[in-house]
Amino acid sequence: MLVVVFQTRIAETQLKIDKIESQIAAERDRYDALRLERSSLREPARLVAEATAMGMIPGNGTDFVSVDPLTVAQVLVSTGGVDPALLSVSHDPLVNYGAVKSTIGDRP
Amino acid sequence: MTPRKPAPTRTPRTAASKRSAATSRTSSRSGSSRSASSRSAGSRSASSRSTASRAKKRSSVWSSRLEPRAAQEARVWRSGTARGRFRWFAGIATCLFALLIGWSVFVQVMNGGKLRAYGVAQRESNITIPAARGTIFDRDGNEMAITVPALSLYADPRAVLDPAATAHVLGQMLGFDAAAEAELATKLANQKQSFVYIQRFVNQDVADAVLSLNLSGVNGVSEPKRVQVAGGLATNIIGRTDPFGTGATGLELQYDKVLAGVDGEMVKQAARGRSLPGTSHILSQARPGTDLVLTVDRSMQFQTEQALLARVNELSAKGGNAIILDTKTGEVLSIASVRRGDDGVAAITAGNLAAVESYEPGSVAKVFSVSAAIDSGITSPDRVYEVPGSHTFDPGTEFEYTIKDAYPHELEPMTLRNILIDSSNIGTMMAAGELGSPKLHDYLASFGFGKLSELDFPGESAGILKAAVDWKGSQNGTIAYGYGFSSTSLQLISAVNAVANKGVYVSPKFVRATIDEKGSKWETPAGSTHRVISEESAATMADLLTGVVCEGTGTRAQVNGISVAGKTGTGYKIQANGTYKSDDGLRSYFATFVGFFPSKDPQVTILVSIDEPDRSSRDRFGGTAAAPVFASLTQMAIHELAIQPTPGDTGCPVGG
Repeated sequence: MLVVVFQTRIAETQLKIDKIESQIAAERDRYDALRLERSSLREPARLVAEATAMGMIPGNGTDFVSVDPLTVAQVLVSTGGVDPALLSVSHDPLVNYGAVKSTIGDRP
Repeated sequence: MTPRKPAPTRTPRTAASKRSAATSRTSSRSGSSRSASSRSAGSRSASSRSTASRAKKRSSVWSSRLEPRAAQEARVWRSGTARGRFRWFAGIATCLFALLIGWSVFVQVMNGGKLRAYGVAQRESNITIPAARGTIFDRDGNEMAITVPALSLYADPRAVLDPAATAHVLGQMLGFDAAAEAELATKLANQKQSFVYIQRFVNQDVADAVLSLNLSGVNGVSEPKRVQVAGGLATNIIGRTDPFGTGATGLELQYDKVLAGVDGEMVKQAARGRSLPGTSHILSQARPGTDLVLTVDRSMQFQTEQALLARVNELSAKGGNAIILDTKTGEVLSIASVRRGDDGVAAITAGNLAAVESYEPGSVAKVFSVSAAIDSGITSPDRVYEVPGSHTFDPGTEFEYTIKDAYPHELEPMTLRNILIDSSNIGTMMAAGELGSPKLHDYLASFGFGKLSELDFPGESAGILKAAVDWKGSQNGTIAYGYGFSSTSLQLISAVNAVANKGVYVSPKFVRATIDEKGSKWETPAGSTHRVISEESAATMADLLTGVVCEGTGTRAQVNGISVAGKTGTGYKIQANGTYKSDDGLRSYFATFVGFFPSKDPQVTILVSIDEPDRSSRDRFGGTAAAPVFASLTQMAIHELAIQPTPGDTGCPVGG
């Protein structure tokens, strides 16, 4: 009797594991699909088309403008200092990607 | 048959002995004990219980008295038959036992492994866990090539009821032409097949529509598909995979083993095709492929491709190359090639022609010969040369060959600076001539010509740079200004980059980092470096090349507010007849501009070459065909990389 119960519990647990693994696989597929969509939305050709449709044109020429250091100082004073912690925030998408990859790996 | 032994002890039978014998035979046949025969005799004679009892007793007495003798007689009488039967039985049993043992040995020992595997295969199924192929990112983490699940349609022909009708319906929905539809009908009619692809990687909506019809034998399966994002940007270096996801060209091929990862394996026990819960276990976990982070900037790549394509179209050119390098690291920020096809349409190429095709660099090579001359100390920018308008090699011989400067002039005193600024072939030849061919060869080799770069890119060309002893006749002069050796665009920009990078050659790079299976990012080793010319010589050259842009042949490469250094090159292409002029007396040009900026502290090096611009156009030279593209790419790079001029740098003087 104990053996039967034990075997049933094993089968039950395995079913749960199978279900979770298939959920992981589905979520991984969804993650990849979203990455593809995100990347496609950021596609340079699409951005150019969108910008052109909005009436924008490519920049024509380059000019370097020197700014009076006094003006720079006045702006800094009027706007206050910048929290260094904010400057160190990483927006590198590869950091997030690496974290996800290390988590889901290549589970079946 | 075993012959019966004679019965010498047989004696005449009495009634009692006959009874006893009969009893004995009965006992023997029935296999029962003697008491059974007693019961049998008693039952026959008894008429009442007492009578039966007496008779039983009597019979028992008779039996006890008669048994030894009768049994002895019976044994003696049947001894030959029993032994024979026993021997037969024993022999057969032994044989059967031996056969059983032999079969057991055969099954368990000799054929055990195979049969065990067969048994396991009947109840277990091994499932490959495909490793996810690594993603290829640009330098900012934007996906360039990614593997995503996609639906493929397949059929089991054995389950297809009407192949022709099914093929027609599928053909209509999938947009097949008549030939493709007929081919599909043939495949569906092949009853020997259990799996045929109808179409791989079908659009999800179309696949859903097809599957909603519930056509008999038609199914869908999810497969990994390699997708190049951004409309195939940088396909020339990324390359492609085959339909099964294996690298076929470019970096996909070069890094195939790294990107592919390692497939895993899982075992599931199954009954009648259905997996049994609780029976699966993983033999080996799949290891995802390593991701590549390229040096390429996706936005810069797009703009480079578009600028080059537009210029090739403007000049009705055959094609062109454009490359942007990070001066200090050798990282390729963008690289593009355009080629006009047989249909007359110019398009971005899928092949990396900038690393594969080589050509004579023309006047850009003056950068290297003048650098060599300055670095070796035999000349200086202000040294004056008496430069004639033409020069004839091997006069009066069959090898006589006359060269001229690009513009006609009499014998003219020219400084080395002016020789470079005006791109004088003869002046350059005079300056490098003092150096000698062996030394010039060594400098050119040090600049990276004649050998493959460290890229190890599939199909990369080493170009041609012969040993100095093999330079014949006019080659001893023409190599100084770019005829007599060949290079790829990638070699050419890397060589100019050595001047920009303070005299140090740095190998170009396509891959900036990798991301392993654990998600850890690893920077690739920096490209190898070696010094070609001194820092002072490089600074001198940067100054001279700034002059080329401000007041020489490269003025159309100027950018407002920042100094640019560079060199024009207009090479004649060798024609089918082996000369630089076709049979109708016309030339084909290869127009190039290579430069870097800011001149005082270079951060970016750019090459633009236009292959066979319209020969009747004024814009067929390096300074007119390629330099304007260089200027626009420079401005783009300034915006993208937020490059500032060095303090005090305001670009070329107004009117310069």
